[in-house]
Amino acid sequence: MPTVLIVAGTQVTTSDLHLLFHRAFEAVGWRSVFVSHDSHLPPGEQVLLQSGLAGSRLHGALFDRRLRRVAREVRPELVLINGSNWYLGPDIVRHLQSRHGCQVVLNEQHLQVFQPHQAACLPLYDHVFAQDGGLVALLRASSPVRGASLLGPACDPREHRPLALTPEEQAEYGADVCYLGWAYPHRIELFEALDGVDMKLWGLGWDASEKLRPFFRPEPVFGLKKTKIYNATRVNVNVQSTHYQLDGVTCRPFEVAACGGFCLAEPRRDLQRFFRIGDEMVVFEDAADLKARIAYYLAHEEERREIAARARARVLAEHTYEHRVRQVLQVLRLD
Amino acid sequence: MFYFEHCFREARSGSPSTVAVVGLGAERWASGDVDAEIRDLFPEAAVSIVPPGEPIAPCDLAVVSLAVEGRPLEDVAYRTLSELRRLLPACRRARHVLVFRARWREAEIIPARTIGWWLWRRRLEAWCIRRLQNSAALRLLAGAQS
Repeated sequence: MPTVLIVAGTQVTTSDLHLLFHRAFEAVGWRSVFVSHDSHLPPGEQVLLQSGLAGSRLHGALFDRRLRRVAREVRPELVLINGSNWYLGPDIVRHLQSRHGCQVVLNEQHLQVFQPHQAACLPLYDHVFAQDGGLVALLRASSPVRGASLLGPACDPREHRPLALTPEEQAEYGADVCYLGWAYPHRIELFEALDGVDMKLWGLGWDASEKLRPFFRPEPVFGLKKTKIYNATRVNVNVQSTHYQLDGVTCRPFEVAACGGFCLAEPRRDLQRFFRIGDEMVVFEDAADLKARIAYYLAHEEERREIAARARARVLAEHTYEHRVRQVLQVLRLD
Repeated sequence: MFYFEHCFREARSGSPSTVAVVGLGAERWASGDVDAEIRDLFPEAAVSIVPPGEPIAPCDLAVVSLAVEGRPLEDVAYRTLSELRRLLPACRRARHVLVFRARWREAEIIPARTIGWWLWRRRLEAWCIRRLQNSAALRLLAGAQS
């Protein structure tokens, strides 16, 4: 059985998509070994991370040593650095390739390829996948990568699924509108404009806005609770970060769709690669447009449900982590 | 959900059939979230909620939730060691203990027979962290980036 060694984080700050890639590799018949760099760490790395010394020479040396040991034990055909390359330098990439004859690829999700060690590794990777079409174009045009491909966001139907909620859960998690994420200034501005809308805001920092404080639920959201929220909400809003995407979208519209939920999304170039806009995913232009569309789709429940059903059919047919893993293996000729 | 499944697999602790969820009495969601995840992952398991301070009957898994605020990636176990030293020994009749950092969702599953060693190791790590945080010389030695 071929083996993939996935290097990524598991904490909720890094999203669960790395673990869902892990599960998808297993589902397509690979042995998947997960090396976490942010939790369940050996004591030395743990102490350095907690002391604010992640990225120090000592931390790098300990992490390298652990990675070399695991690679020696499992002899991977593929090393997948998932999320961003936070800690691997060129030496360890070369070592993995030459010692084990494996392919080392980056799956970049945050536009984090410009720090010195990240840039130095770019020409060494056997391939770079990115979750953002804008970054792929940039890498192809102006960096020494051997190959770059778009690897879109995805959902996991076992994780993101329709649920039969109890009336208590519907009351606890439900609203006409919800947003789940960090309260960046442009997001605060957008949601402040939604006067009179029944909404719930989850994530961090929404209490910075006096106007939004009543809608804010200051508690963590992950896993099952996130699935319940997407199920319980009539209109899920998707607003991207201005820092971490160029043309890209995150997993949110895909996860909402897999839950059978309805999503109103910012227009992004990548979104139309994955959904038929207007038919499977509805976009809004600005705050006034968002408000108008929320009112429209709240009043047209049947139409909302039909769009959500088409979006769900699309993600299940084309945009699961298993689809993404098969794409990776095909590009790398490991299928 | 898969995060917890992954943690149980990594810990090789098996599927629990009896679970006791202990809260720290703070935020309701702190134990509620992990309780819901455990019930979803192990639908056959008998899950009971134990108020803080009450004795825990023998069970496969005891869950202790820490709701204390913290920064992303900060392990709040170091700041709650005194509470953990009070709570964890009460879990000795469980086979495993899940220490759940609720704010930033991190689950650690430890065999109950190693609770004493685990607490000792955490105290030692906390001491090292304080030294590293407060000593410019040690940080330099570790190769800290400016």
